[in-house]
Amino acid sequence: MTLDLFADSDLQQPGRLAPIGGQSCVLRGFALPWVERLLPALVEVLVQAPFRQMVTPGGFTMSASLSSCGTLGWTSDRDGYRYTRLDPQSGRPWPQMPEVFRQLAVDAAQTAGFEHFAPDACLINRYVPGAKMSLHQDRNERDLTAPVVSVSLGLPAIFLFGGHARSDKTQRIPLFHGDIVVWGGVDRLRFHGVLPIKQGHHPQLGAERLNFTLRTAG
Amino acid sequence: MNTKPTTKYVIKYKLNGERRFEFAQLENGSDEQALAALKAIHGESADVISDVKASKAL
Repeated sequence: MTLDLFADSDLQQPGRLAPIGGQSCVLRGFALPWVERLLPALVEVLVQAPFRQMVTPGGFTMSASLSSCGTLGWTSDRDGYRYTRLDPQSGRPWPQMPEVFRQLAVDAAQTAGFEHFAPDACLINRYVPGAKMSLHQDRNERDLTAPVVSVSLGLPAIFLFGGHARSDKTQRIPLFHGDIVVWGGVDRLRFHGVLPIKQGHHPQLGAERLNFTLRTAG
Repeated sequence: MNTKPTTKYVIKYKLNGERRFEFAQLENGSDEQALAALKAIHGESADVISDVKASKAL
């Protein structure tokens, strides 16, 4: 047995679970041991379903670029928000969810206290400096008893975690490469978003932030 | 010197009832090894370690 708390340059601090709500938490650095497998798997997904900027029902173009993998993929257009089995850009099924994505999400959910998480949808967001995500609720999923698992890679971000009304006060939570946020149960429908990403450079990902959000949608 | 191959594991547990996790290199993910790793981290204190589960961090 060897304790490995400081073996990797990225593992600058011991694993830390920071509660941000009754059934929600940040798992600091939890994804770091998986990154070397996550990134090649991501490349394979993006070859099949490249990032694209989607339009909201209100006609605004989202500043983040999106892709998906899994049985269901989240899409937005002038007709509304929804999950689809086919990528509307290619007409083909969304790429299969890589096993390393699923395994990481299941492990993170268990660590946060959600046993038996079975994600079938992984939304992949790419943020360049200036891109943001306005406050919103995740409520397009059929089963709201399953948590949301959100993996942050690359540039840091300020995650906004609010209440059950858009006007509720938000916590500002800094997220770094390898951090995972899990929320579910009583917190499942809390509003959340991301402040505009600041300029910067990440050693592995350059000037971008990637965010994988895994859910049970169907 | 211990030359047995080790693998990086994530150890999920509760410390005094609060959820926690740590990473450690273990030879296997047995409960005994995981608990020994946690005791090495937390030392001989009155803290209560429970609900220990280890899984490979790939």
